[in-house]
Amino acid sequence: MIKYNRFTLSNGLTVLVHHDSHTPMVAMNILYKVGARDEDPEKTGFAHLFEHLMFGGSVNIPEYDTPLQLAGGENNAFTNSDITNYYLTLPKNNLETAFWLESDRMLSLAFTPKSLEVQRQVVIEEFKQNYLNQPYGDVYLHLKPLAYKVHPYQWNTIGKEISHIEKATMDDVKLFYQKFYNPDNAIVCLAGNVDIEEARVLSEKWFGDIPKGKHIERNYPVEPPQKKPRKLTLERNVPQSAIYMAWHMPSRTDPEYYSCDLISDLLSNGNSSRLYQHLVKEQKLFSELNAFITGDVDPGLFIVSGKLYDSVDFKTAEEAIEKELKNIKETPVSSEELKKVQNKLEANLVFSEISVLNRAMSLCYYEMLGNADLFNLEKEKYQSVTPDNIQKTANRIFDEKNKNVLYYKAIKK
Amino acid sequence: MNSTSSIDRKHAPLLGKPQPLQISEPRKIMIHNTVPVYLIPDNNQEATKIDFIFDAGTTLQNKKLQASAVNKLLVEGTLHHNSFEIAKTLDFYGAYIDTFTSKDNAGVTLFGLSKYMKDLLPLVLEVISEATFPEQELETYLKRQKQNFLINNQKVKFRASLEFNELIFGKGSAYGQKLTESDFDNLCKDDIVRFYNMNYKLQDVYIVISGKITDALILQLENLLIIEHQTKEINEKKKYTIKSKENIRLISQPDAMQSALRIGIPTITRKHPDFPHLFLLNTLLGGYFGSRLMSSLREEKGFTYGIYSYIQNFKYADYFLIATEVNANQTRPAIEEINRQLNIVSNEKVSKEELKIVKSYLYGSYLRSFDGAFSQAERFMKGKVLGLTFEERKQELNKMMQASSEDLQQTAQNYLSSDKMKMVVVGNIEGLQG
Repeated sequence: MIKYNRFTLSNGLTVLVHHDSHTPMVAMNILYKVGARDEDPEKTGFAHLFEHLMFGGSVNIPEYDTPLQLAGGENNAFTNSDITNYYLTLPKNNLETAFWLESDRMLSLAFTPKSLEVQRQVVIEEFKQNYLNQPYGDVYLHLKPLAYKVHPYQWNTIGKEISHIEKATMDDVKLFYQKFYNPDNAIVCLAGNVDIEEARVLSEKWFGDIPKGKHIERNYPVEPPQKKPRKLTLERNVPQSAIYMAWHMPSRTDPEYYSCDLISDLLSNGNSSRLYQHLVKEQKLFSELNAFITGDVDPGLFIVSGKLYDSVDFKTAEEAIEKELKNIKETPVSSEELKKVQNKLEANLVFSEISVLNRAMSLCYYEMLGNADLFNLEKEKYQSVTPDNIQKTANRIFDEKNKNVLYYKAIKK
Repeated sequence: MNSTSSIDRKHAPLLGKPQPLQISEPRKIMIHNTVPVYLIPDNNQEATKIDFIFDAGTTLQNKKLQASAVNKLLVEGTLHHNSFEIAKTLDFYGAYIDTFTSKDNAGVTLFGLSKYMKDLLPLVLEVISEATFPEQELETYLKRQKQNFLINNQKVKFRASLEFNELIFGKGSAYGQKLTESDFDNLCKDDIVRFYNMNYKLQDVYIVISGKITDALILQLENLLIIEHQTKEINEKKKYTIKSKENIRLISQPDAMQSALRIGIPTITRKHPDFPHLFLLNTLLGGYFGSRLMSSLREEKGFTYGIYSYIQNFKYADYFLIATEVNANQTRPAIEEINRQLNIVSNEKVSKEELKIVKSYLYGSYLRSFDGAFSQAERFMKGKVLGLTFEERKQELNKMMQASSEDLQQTAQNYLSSDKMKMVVVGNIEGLQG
């Protein structure tokens, strides 16, 4: 149970404060409600490119990193399909430095041509390094457009193709910033050795006069139900063949989301899980095999991915996975096995709350989903899932029509 | 509400004075007058971590892989439970048993919700005291590890680290052991059992408990710890390091897109009076994102995605190291630039401004690394191998905060001469010979 206070500035900025006097540090997390799903299909990769530009100097502060280092701080950021999230930690007596730095880059960026050029190059190198020159690096560049035909989740955070990044102009960049980087589209959380009054005063002082943005219309195209199975085979120079299977699943706030998460744990969380015990250890078909959910806000994917031993063909591999899924669909999970994954989830929730930075990130994320209170309700939601829920959800999700399969075939050079 | 003009956005707010580290030495209790238990409580946590540390590092092994195989296979079967049953119990309680092996020691860690510790403590002790090492599990383990080794051995980074370790400590030394493919075929169950029987005795363990600690937990630990006093056979005196004249190892890997560089030198111990200055200098040179090496080789020249320098302290030896992977076509200019940067810190004084940035960064990173019971437990165990107390850590930090530009220059001249460094290159070695 995480206690926190919430207040909203007149420009719409939501601020959450979680007090914990056991640490000498304060964490500041800022979530901007903009991700790859907000991009123009012809200008993908912008949300992520923008994350890089946020470190290229703001209107009054030429460089972000040095003043933060002077204050003993450390920072980083990430972008996904739904959000862009910035975070830092610093000693509590330098908290105001965090407000100064973060409020200035919410006010306006420096928009120097040099920063755009440098970060454009860095992001292009990142695209090459992680998605093109990396074994298995391009899997999701193919799997997502196989599964999504309409919804923006069809492209990855890095973007559809390098050319979108290459073509980004300063005007595009400025328009993107003006639309999304506004106080009413952000959530701030302070966690650690900070009290509510101090946070309120500093928030008013530094963020209070940043003008609010224009209302953002969000009408993400809805992915229609998939009507028949889809299959794709790629041939690549990699050490081992791999299989990827993906099924559409409900959104983050749907009650069935919790059943899906627990199914993925039954299948592959921990060394006693079904896929590991049956297909990795006993039948020795895969050297690695995982089941997980993408966890996106809009309806996401349930994914099973595995690396096949040389002697195993795709048909055998796919059938073995299907057999495990059939088992979940047909036989109710025992209460003991369900309890096991529920306990594990509870434990992992507790472990994730150990650091104040994680608490700050979680509070912002759940506030974005609707209300930070949701974070404190997670445990209960997982615990209320029944064997019947699991079975029903498995039958709905693991439907042949809803399946996308990617054979990633190893070929020798 | 303030208007924009009333606040000064151009200048950074005043910084607070760095506060001393608020840490106190862990409380030590003895169980059965034999086993030291160190307590780092934080009763606001709902999680507990128990580390069991043994003198069972790789320096004690007679065959390579012996120490790590024993350590990893502890959880793969005991007198009472097989591998699956152990995994199932841990998963049921949402807990983890992690194991590690280093040169100087080895450990088994139980981490889980405090409320289940009573159910898990017997299991972790069983794993430590009654492991059986089933043949089948050993075979699978070695097969998987060999596969990993072969894949890793195609990476320049992995090969360079193996080679550097041997180069810096010396061929045939206990610290300089180098894995080869055949090592994975030479280990049998007898080797495992012998090493286990000799080095995993509870009479020789020390324990660190962090997070939520209850009296009941300590009591249970006392009841479960059964100690048979036996004399530990003293191993023959090890040669931890062997001096050699070899200074450079160049290994060609023609298809590699990057060359891996390892450049380093044996150095002073953690408790040496000059260590704090050397540590500060290391940070400035390559110890953080804003470092000299990172700014030059990554940000300015684009030779690499990242470059770092480190000081590695072990129980019986220490070294300084610069490690990076660079664009293979730029191997030679990259080495030249590294040497140039080493020479600059010897020849020129650091500006006050840069010194201030490095100190502030270091101060923050100390605060972070001691933040919370679990982090403190990590620091405590790292320090214990070296005989380093928390009090000495505080003194270290104080000394760093007081260092001057002159101190750093002197330290560079004393300990980081570019012409005394040993070097390994794996990748494109064209034009580097002779």
